[in-house]
Amino acid sequence: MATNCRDGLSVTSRQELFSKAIQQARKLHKDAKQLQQAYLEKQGLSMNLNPDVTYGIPTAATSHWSELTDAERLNSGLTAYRTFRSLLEEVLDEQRNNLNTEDLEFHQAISSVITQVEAVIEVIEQAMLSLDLPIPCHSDRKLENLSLFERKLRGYKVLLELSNWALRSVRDFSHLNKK
Amino acid sequence: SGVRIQYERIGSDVTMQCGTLGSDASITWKVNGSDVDTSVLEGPNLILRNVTLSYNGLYSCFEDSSGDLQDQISLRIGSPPREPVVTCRSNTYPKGFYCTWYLPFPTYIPNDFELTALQNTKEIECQRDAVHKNKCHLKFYQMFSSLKYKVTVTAKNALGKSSATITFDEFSIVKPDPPEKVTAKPIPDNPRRLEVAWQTPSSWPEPDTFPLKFFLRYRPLILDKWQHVELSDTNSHTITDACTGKEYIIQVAAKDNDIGTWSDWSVPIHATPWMEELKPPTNENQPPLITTTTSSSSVPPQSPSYQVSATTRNSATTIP
Repeated sequence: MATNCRDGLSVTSRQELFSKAIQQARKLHKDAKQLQQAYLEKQGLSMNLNPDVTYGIPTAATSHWSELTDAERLNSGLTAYRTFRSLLEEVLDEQRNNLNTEDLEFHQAISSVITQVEAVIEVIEQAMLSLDLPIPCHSDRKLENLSLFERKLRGYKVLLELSNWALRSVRDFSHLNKK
Repeated sequence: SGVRIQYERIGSDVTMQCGTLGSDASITWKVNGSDVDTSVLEGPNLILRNVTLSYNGLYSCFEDSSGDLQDQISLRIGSPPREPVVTCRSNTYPKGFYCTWYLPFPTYIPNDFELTALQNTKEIECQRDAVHKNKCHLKFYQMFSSLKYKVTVTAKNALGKSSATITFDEFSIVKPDPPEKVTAKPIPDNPRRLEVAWQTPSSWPEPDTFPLKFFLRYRPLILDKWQHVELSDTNSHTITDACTGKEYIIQVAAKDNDIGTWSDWSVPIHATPWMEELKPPTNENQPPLITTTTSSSSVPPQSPSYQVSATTRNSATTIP
């Protein structure tokens, strides 16, 4: 059973919380989309790239979104964004050390998205608290041994799925906000 | 035996054979009941050069010796289909989407269409529309997917076939229907305001979870330049900078807050802001009208009763 890993969080009003969450997820969707386009250009990848590979990246696609419970929505979101946080840190590391070492502005853009992911994690945890849901502990990801090209591909897929996840979160929070 | 159909391409040379009769048979041809010019005969065969649509018709051949009808051919001149134009759109997101298609050039003969839709490797069924024969409906197999959809339409007729494929992701085809029941009302005592209201398109299934934003445009009828305002989380807006006394044309469009494209504009409606009632001119030599109860002159212009009697000249005309 998931033990509650976060306590002492101030629980703001539910409406306020989800409205804030919607705005954050919406901005993350926009920025991740922009970063995804920039990534394609900077890595010289094709615009029609559609890598059917997962690399352990959380995919936002779901065929039963409407039937998800509140707990499932928040838990799956939390798990996904925690994974994205560590994946993005790896992407940033690869850009700094191998793939795009001089482009400081691009590095800053990735860092900004990481910060936004952390903010969404925070707001999901608050939401779970406000709904008396246990917050599962987080376990670190196992680093994968990938070639340079696979890392380049993975970076794009991370941003693609992140922007879809952010969009999914906008809908999740809107759904939760209706209640 | 019955009439058989023979399809031939526009511009081609056509040979019409009379059943299975041998080359030595003596035949008479008729088209739509009239005799055929004998110069186009080659033994029992009828040869038609560089045919056009005007060659369409019922061709009959008779054996001279018995006068018996040997064969009847309905000749249909046409073309093989060129690449169809395919469009897919979701105006009922996230429930599903529809695809429509048409042939950019006429073929003049019957065509059949087949649509296949794939998301990655998964085939998605397309439910034919009950009314429109070139339209079918699909469900989003998955939501928030990065895997693209691939839709292929194949057009086929007796003279050939052609197909077209489009690829898209779930978000790019989202385009709501225009807002409905758009109304615009003048606001008494406010000559520069119009109150505009509208409803979310009834086809949009979950406006709470998938909110729409709106784009309002308005202009005086006599001007070409539109004024615009984008609005979220509301189904009404008060125009505050209307030109006094000018009739306005007003339209609204809708878009999902986060994805897709703007709807078409709503049907235009017209409205004119409220206007001060024009007081009738009073001449010196004409004695003031004395009414039996109160004389209008004694009623202060701004008293409510006076205001009530001032009819609002403008009423909003709503085009449903």
